[in-house]
This record gives sequence, structure tokens and C-alpha cells, in this order.
Amino acid sequence: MKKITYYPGCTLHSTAYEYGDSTEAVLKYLGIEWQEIPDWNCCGAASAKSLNHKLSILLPARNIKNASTLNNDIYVPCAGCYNNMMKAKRALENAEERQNIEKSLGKFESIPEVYPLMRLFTDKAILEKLSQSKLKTDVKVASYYGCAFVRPEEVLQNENPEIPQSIDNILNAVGLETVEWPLKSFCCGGDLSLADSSVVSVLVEKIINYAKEAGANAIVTACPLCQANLEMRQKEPFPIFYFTEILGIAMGIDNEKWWKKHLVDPRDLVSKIKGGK
Amino acid sequence: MKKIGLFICHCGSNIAGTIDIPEVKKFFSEYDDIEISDDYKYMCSEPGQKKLRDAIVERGLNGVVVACCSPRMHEITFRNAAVSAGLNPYKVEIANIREQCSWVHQKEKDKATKKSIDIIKTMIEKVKRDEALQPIEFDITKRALVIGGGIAGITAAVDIANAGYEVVLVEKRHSIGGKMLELSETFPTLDCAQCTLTPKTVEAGRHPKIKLMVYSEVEEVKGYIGNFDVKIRRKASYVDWNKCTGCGLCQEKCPSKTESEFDHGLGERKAIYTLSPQAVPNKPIIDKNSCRFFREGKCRVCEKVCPVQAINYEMKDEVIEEKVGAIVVATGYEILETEKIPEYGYGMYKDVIDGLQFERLNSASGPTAGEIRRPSDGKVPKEVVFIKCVGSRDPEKGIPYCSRICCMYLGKHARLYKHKVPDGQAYLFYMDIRSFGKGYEEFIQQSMEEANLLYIRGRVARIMQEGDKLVVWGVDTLSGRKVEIKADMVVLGTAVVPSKGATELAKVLRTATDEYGFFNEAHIKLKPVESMTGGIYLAGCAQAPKDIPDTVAQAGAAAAKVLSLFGQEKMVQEPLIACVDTDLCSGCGVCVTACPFDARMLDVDEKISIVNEALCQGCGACVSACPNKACQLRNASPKTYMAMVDKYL
Repeated sequence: MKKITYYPGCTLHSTAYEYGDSTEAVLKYLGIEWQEIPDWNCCGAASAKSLNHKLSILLPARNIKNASTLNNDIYVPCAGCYNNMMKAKRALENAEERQNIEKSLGKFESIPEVYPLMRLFTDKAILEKLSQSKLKTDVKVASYYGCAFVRPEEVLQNENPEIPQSIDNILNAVGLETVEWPLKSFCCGGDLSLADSSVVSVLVEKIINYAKEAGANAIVTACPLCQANLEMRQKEPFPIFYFTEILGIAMGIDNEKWWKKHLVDPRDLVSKIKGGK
Repeated sequence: MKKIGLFICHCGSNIAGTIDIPEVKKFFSEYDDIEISDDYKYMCSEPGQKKLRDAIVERGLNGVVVACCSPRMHEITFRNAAVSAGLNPYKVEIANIREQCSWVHQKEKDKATKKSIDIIKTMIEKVKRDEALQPIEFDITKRALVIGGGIAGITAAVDIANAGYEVVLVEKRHSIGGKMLELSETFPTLDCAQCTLTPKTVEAGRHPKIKLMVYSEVEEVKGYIGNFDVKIRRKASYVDWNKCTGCGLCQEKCPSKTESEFDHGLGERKAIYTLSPQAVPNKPIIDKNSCRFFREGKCRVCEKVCPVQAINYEMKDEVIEEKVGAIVVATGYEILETEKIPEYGYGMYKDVIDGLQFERLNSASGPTAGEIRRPSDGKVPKEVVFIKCVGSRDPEKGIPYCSRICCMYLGKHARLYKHKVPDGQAYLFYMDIRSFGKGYEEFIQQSMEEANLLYIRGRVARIMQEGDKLVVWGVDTLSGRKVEIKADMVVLGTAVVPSKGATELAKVLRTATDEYGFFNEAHIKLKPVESMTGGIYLAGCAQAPKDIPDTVAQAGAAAAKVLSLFGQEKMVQEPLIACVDTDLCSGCGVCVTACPFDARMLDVDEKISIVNEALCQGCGACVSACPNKACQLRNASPKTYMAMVDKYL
């Protein structure tokens, strides 16, 4: 059985409870064992990096250090957490920067691999497992990655920043059709959501219009900030899902509690995804 | 008894400003084997050389050390001076007291003076042991091979052939003309590319001294400058070109159609086809991948209609051997595929085309017969965006260099578009405008001021399909505003990259390419048409991106280099190469594997290793590899070097 180290970050236990809960439900269903990083702290989010560079590296570096005792790869569901943790990991890969980090945090025995949560499900064996739970629906969705899972490319070396594919592959495995559209990794304006919402509404409108035009009935994302922002700043109701929620529906383990957390009520569409008309 | 002359050069103040020359001169005036110790302000000047010549004659010198700049600068000057005074040139050595002493020790004058004495001492030891050597001479095969039948290769081939030497012109495709034949009009004069090129292709095709080998590729090259043995694969065309009259009936009747490479995917061609209406030679080939007979086993329409029975489905590739003395590499370029540009749609949007596709759209022989109609639905586009520097000057895409032609050809494209669609609007996004050639800047100014092209300084971030429009998101960095254009068609000025197979060809030729795959010149300023390998010359975009005028100029220069080689009676090579002590050689063959120039081989009868004197470059790889110390470099034996080191210590 596969074992992973899991870093939920602050949101998956709070504002993005439905993402956290659906992730855990899906992991359990697939028989993947996870352990949260012992005594984990906030990754620094957007605040630390705009105030203090050193702090923005040390916060996620501490999480990496705590995770190293578990000897498993770290999987991170939140785009912001993943991005920050990768920056800390790259710093640790540089001898000089590592020395500076170790001055504050003590010696690192090892540095585990850090992956976005999607990577876990694009593993060939798991994709095969996923494809045993097939949805029968004509609902189409637009997969949306936002910025932080794919950029900066040279730091993350994750997937193609212009046309990322992992969420599409996961959703297709459970029989949900995804549309081709150009704004998969377009910025949703998340960081400005409170500071300057006028900028954000323009961006969100673009994203949603393009998704609709491409023939999608909903957007599926993996980033809690994108999800909240897209729901909050849109004009006409257009549901925004986490990909783990879709997997939950496909496996038949979805939970009414998840839908109640959404700002845009997705329940009509959920029943369509389940095969209803 | 050695009689060595020492001549110390001041090099103005370059040497004399740091080194105490009278002191050095005095030191050596009483030195063993030194017949004369002299100095002069500029030894390389005519009076300086005269000092050296006179001393050789008057004092009967049998060795000379000149203490001056690097041997790369004036070794040849002083060796020639010695020859004219009757001394063997290999008895002249340079003690480098400028680059390796005065220049690097300007603040330590005393130490520099002492070091210069040490350097001179070691070179005296070398001269004492130097043998008089004779340059190696060998015959030259006065025929040339030109690889690539574009404008560069054609120009070089015709120039060499016009001087009376035979040329083998090898072209990968089945007719010559290269990329230039695909172009509609050319900048800055807007004259028709075919009209300027076809006289050249016809001349090359008919020239009695040019052996045209199209649909052929160079497979193997052995030998060395003056004497190359080349194997060329002539691919099976399935048409007997000796019989074929080029009547075109087979093309007309052939039932299989496929995408035309010549039209860059915008038009169709038959499975049996000539490249263009002006093809030289005007003979077709059968493309096995699209031919119904080769795919399905039946059809044979071309065979039935051919009036001269030229179709031969059984034809096989042929390998032809040629002997040549010089090779010109003119393999041209490709452009970066739009599939590699994600932000502009990965080649998914039909109406985002590249510069060469636009050439075909605009060409009278192209798929739209010269009307500007967009690929998706054949509509005349009213808003067209042209984007420069797509891939070029973009280190993140691995192409930091400037492709040099895009500024001009996109300006030209936009002008031609406006000629044909006067009510259309052309937008050109640029980083800066590089209009460096003769008449180029005037062309661009005219485009902006009179032709009403809208130049926008800034980059395009993204292109997206929205209905039947392409939404272009960019920025105008002069006004600091974002720009959004709903365009009907977008033309990309994609980067110039080396032609496919250039790196493999470089390996076959044993010459070097740069990190991008362009052939390396021997010196970027002083030897721009010579490759890193003797006897192999470069022309056109094979070396680096360039426009037609520069390509033609370089091709002419490459031809001139070939002709100056062929103008010599015999090839002369430096004798400072490897030799074998036959008593010590055990014939183990380590040197054969160590040699990077294929200059070493085993003499099977004598069971020892021998040196091919024409190939050996004197690099010394075999000397360090030889376990018995049987390999040595002439005038650089370990004994000599030990003596030099001893003197220094």
C-alpha cells in the first residue's frame, strides 16, 4: 500500500474544508495511507513573501524538516502551499542557502520530494484504479490550474505552464469530459481579491466566459484560493469544483457537507454528473 | 657548435615598459651558445627583420630565438625572414615575453625581468635541439563538393565551376533552389524571388562543370583537406530520370493527394510530384508514404500513363563515391515549429501561421494563387497581426540569438498584405527594429510612414481563439497600455534554427557546431567562412542566420577560399606532427583510438603504427597515450621538454 506524507495547509482544515474532506475520503477509498507532517505550521501564504523573504523560506523549510522524519514524499493539495514549499526546497538544494537555513532550524538529515496532490493521482496504477469508477454523464467541465501550480517553471519543474494536463487526465479517467480552452493557467487575481476587487472581477469574468464558450458546465480546480475567488467574484452562478470532489462523486462517496461549503450551489449539477437529467 | 641569435623586441612600451631590456640583453651576451644578443623597438618591422636576416648571413647563425609577442602573432613573420636568409624556418623559436610576462606582471618589474630571462633560457634549449624540417607536400584533388542546393550552395557551386573546376552539388530534396524558391517577394526591393533565383538554378542545372545530385545525402566523408573520399546516397526516386521528359502527365493523373511540404501544409500535392513549377531538375519522385501502390499494392496509374515507361517501382537507393579536394557546407535553415510556442496556441489555431506559410499564401505559385486568404475558411483577413522575435532572443526558449531576418521579412509581409488588401489593417509587434542592411532602414521607415503599417513596441502574451477571431493580448510599452486585438490571422516571425540533420552532418564531416547546431566558423571575425576543419568551408544559414545578400556574399567568399586552395600546385602542411620511433613501437594500437583526426593506423606487415602526415594536426593525443613513448611530436620530444624544464628550474 502506498504511503504519503500529507501537508493540508491551513485552508484544507478551514475555508476549504470540502477540499480537505474530499481529499481524505478519496485517499481512504483508494487505500492510500497518509500522515500529516508532525507539528506543521503555516506555509507563509502570500503574507510572508511580501514582508520578509527569509521568513517566507524558513516557514515551509520547517515543514520540510519535520516531514523528513517520515521518509515519504510530501503531497500538497494547495497551490500556494506547494509553490512556497518548492521555493524552500530549491533553497535547500543550494549549499550556501542551506547553511543559512540550518543556522535557524538545525541540521536537515534528508530532504523529501515535494509534489502537488494531482501528481499522486496521475500515477499510472492509480489512474487505472480511478478508471474503475466511471461517470455516465454529458456534463463537460473546464479544468483550471491557476498560476501557482505551474509557475515559475524553473522552480517547480512540474508540468507545462501553458497547457497543463494533470487534472484533465484525472477527470477523464473517471469518465468526465474536459474541454480544450486557453485559460487553464491564467491568473484569477487571487492575491488582489480583497485589495483591489475591480481588477479581479475583470479576470474572473474572462475565465468564466472562456470556460462557458468552450462548452463547459463548470470549472474544476485544485487551488483553494482560485476556487473561492472564482465563486466570489463571478456574476451569474457557475459552479467551481475541486477535482477531489469529482472523484468523490465518481466513487459514490460524496458528502452533502461539501456542497454546503460552496458559495455557488452546485447540487443541481452534481446530480447531473451522477447521471440525472 | 651552436650559433644562436637572440633578438629581444621592445614592442614599443608593451615589453620595454615592464622588462629591463638592456639587462636581459647583457645577461645573454655572455651566455653559452649565444652568438649575438640584440634588441630592437619593433622586431616585426622591416628594419627589425633585416637585423635578423643580416645576423643569420653575417654571423652564420644556426638557430634563432626572438623574444617578443605570442607565436600566434609573428612566428610566421620571423620564420619567413629566416628562410629568405637561408636558415631552416623550424630553427626559429619565439620566447613569448609579452602575453606571458610583461602584460601580466606590469606591477612587478624586477620579477618580470627575471622571468623573461627564464623564458628565453628555455627556448634556447629548444632551439639547440630543433631539427631542420621540410614542409610536407601532397597532391590536391581539384574538385569540390557543395552540400545544399539553396541560394548559398548554388552560388558557391557556380562560382567554383565558372573558374573551371568540377563541382558535385548535393541536395536533399529533389530539386534545387532551397528556401528562396518558396519565397514570394524579397526585401528591401520587393522583387519576385523566383525571378531572381531561377536564372541561377537554371545555370547550375545546365553547367557542364556541375554534377547535380538531387534527392541525395552525404553519408560518409573520409580523408583530409585536398583529398576527401565522399559517399553519397542517392535515394530511390522510382522514376528513371534518364527516360523522364518532365511532361507532368503522371502528376496530373495520380489519384493520391497529400499535404505539400513546399507549401508548408497549406496546399496539396500528388504522391508523384515535382517540388515546384520551376523545378530544376524538372523530374518527379514517388513519395512512398502517400503513394497508393506502395501503401495498398494496387494503382500503377503513373506507370500506365507515362509515355516513356520511366516509372520503376523496383528502384533502390544507390551509394555513389566521389573524390573531392574541398567541401562547402550550405545546408541552410529551418524555422522553429509553431508547435513549440505554447503561448501562441501550439500550432492548434489554423489561422496562426509562420512567415514561410505567409510566403506561400502570397506566392502566385502558392495554394491560393497569391491571394491572401486565411487557412481556416478561405476568407480574406481584414485584421492581421505580425509578431516578431517569436522564439528568438528568448533565452527561456533556448534561443538567445537574433534570427536577423524577421524584422525585415515581417515588414515586407505586411507591405505585401497591404498591397493586396488595401482596406486591411496590419499590426506589427516588435522588440526593436533591426534594419541593418543596405536600403533596409529606408524600407522600414517607408512602411511606417507611407504604407500605414501599425508598429507596436511590445510583446504578445497570448493568442486565443474566440469564435472565428483570434484574440491577441499584448502590450504597447511606449504608451504603457495593454492591447487587445481581435484579429483574423496572425503571422509569427519564428526563430531561425539549423536545418534538420546539421549536427549529424557535422559529425560525418568531423567539424564542430555551436550550442544551437549551427556550423562553427574557425574565427568569428577573421575566418568567417572556414570551418574548424581544413578544407571545409561554410556558406549561408548553415553557419548562422542571415539574409540573402549576406548569404550570397558568404557563398562567394567560400568559393574564393576553395579556388585559392585549388590554385596551389601542391598542398603544404606544417611538418610539426607526430612521428613514430619504430624501435619502441609494439603496434598496440592505442594511438589509433586516441587520434581525433583518424591520422593513425597500423601497418599490418611491419606490426607498427604509422602516421598519415596529411591528416595529423600535431595535437599530441597519441604522444600522451603511447605506453612505450614511441609516439613523439617532431621538435617537441620529451627529451627536449625535459631539458627546457631543467633550465628553468
